[in-house]
Amino acid sequence: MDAHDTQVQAELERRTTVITRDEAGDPVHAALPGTDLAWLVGIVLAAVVCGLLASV
Amino acid sequence: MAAAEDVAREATFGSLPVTREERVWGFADFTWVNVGLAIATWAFLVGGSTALLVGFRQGLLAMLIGNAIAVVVMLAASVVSSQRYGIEQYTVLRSVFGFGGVALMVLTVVLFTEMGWSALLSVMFGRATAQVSNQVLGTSLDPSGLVVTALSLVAIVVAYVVLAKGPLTIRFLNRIVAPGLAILTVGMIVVLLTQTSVGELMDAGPLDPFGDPRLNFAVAVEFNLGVGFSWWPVMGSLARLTTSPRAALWPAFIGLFGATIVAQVVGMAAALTLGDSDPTVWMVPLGGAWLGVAALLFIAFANLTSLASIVYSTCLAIRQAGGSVLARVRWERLCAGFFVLPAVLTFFPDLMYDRFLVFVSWSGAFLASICGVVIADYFVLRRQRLAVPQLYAHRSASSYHFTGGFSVAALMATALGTVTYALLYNPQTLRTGAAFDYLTASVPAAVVGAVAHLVLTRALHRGGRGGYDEPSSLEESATAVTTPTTTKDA
Repeated sequence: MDAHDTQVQAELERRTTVITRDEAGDPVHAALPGTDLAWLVGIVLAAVVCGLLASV
Repeated sequence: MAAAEDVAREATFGSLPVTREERVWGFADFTWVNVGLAIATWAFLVGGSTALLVGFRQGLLAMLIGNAIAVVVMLAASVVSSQRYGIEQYTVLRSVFGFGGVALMVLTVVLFTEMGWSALLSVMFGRATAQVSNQVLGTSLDPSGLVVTALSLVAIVVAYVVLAKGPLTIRFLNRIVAPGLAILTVGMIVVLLTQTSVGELMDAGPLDPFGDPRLNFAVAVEFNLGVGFSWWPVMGSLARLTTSPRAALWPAFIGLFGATIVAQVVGMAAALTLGDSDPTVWMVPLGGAWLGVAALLFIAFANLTSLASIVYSTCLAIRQAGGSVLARVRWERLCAGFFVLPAVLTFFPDLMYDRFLVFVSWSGAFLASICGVVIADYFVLRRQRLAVPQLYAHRSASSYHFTGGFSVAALMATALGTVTYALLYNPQTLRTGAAFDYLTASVPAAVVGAVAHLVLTRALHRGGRGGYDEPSSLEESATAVTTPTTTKDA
């Protein structure tokens, strides 16, 4: 991105302001919930266990 | 160029963060995007290549295990942060590797990976059209001959023309290709089931295995891990357009794990039934002359759109990483420059097919380590919090400038993870270490990369370097919004 272009720079600043201020608290910017993280870890662990069982 | 055009171009090329109104993909939309991405022609080739090593039962297990682990790790390292902040992947990665570190990574690992896939897709187009000619015109074109090279170069030229016209053309073509490939896959399942019994399929032996069955299974799992990780370069830029964390994560998993497995199983079953891993070879014997030719023509067309899509994403990444130097290079010239090496590789059509396993392994060696480092950084060190303005601040003014633009900790951790991979499984010689049969190479590489990054960051990035102690933009703003005086001042 050519950040030296003043119009692009202004648009970038407008957007970062919208994201960090106006949309703060919006569900769109929520962190990934712990439940989903736990599911991801569970899938990986289940696959690892299956792999270990299959290889012994 | 007019300033308004500059802004439009930046929006098109994905450099600017997207706001709430611009996020257009809900759960269902993004599921279809990923299903379309997953059921690509390379999935048939991956299934066929797995059949070289193991039979159907073990192949299915290897695909499930390899893809499940790699897709989950890859998604955690790409879609989660890009979705949360609406920022494309290579800008977000500045917080992990530094501005210069991202450029180094894109211009080496990402470029190598995507050039390899581009060459493979071009050659697959060449072979598919040569097979069509052999069937329809009665020619006997050699799948490794110069005509295939010429046809592969035609694919590159057509993809270049599509790319030069921009993302709208690619989107239009993908709307035809994605459902078409889904129908083609279902059709092939039906034809397969009419030609062979489930029992025969289950009993079919691998096509070209190593001597040790345990090693064959481990290499098959590792191969599928590498394939799962290979989605990483393109996923973050797509996920930023989704409307919630769950609308980004699970559709990507459904598509890249579920749909990929279906297409790979078809490729594996066809290869085991017909004795060849190359989908351009088994299409006609499987579908008969007319159906096979129609499928080959569609495969050739689908390869063109896949080629245009991955080159588009990669050229965006190169432009992002290249700073002001590459920002001034015209889009058409950048794309043309990208195609030089894939064009050279088409003169060796057998190379990409015969060395497909080696290529995917090299790619996996780096991408697994990178994913481990990114996960450690985003989830553990930063606890899913980034400072958005710092991602765009001028180099030395940014918290993410690290040391001269490079995060030494992240780069060293990536190198350590990659070395771990090579010690367990040398991608070039395919020689394996003792623990490989049980651990694979990608999983230890990701773990070593993650742990090394945690340790090295604590040791090397003290005193505010890397912005690890700063609150995120969203947190700062949330505080500002709930504190009236601060809000008024702002």
